[in-house]
Amino acid sequence: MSVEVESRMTQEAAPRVSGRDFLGAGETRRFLRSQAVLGGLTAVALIVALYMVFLYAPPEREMGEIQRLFYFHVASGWLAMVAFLVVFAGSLMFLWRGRLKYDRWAEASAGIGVLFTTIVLVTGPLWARPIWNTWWTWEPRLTSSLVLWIMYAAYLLLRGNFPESRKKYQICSVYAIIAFLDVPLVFFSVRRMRDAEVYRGLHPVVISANKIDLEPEMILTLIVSCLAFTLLYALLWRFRLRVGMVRDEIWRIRRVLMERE
Amino acid sequence: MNGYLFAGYSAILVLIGVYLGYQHYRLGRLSRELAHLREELGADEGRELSGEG
Repeated sequence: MSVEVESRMTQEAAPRVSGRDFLGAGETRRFLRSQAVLGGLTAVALIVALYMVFLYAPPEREMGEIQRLFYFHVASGWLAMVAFLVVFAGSLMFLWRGRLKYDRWAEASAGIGVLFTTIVLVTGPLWARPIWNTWWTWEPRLTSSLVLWIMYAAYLLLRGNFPESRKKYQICSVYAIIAFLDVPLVFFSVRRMRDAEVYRGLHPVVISANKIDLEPEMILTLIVSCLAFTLLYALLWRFRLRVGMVRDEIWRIRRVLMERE
Repeated sequence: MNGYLFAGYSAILVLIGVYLGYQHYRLGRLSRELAHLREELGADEGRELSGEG
């Protein structure tokens, strides 16, 4: 990266310093304390969710024990959607308001979205294999989920392999907004296709607009799993955002030191 | 426990653990670098104030 480009970028990327203690010892202690509280809450929520998944929810009549993968599989899908919504909103806000903090929100959320889409893509075939005797079929929901993963993995590659500049953040924001078009496609793909005579996929639809095809204990377990994963998202997002803030501050100090030389 | 179920939950645990571990490592490395740069910046400012620079 050239000194000029880095200098321009760090000028833009410099976080708004709220006080002398920005990212200092006291501020770091406060951050770690709040993360510890959030981490504790997340751990408790995940333990409760795991208890409900394995001991509270009844086994499904036809699928048996393997259906217990459903709860964290759906919660991961939910979390990926939330993460990509934040990427979309952050990118839109960055293009609209021009403030870098919105781009950093999107950056922090994209990696988490890819992580949980990976979990969906790993647990899905592990569930499908013993039930439908296949790891994968090229049906709409599975294919659009894979496309979603590829699009956001490409977004991360785009961010990681281009020189830092405002132009790069604008290009990434436009890309993220276009990539988000695949999210409703994933969500509605099964709904649109399940009644079509030409094609019926393997992926089950248990939650529809009219009814939820689950026992009450299963619904409760699913809700608790989704809540636990939402807390996990908040924990991971704040952590990843912190990484970006420290990196931006390093860039800013480097620029100051370079200007002095 | 069903083998596929075990594999599924193990994969979830491993993937989240690897991500969290990597971010933790990055934050630690960057924080050390930041502390080092701040020291350098402080020393630089000190030299300027004492008229050495």
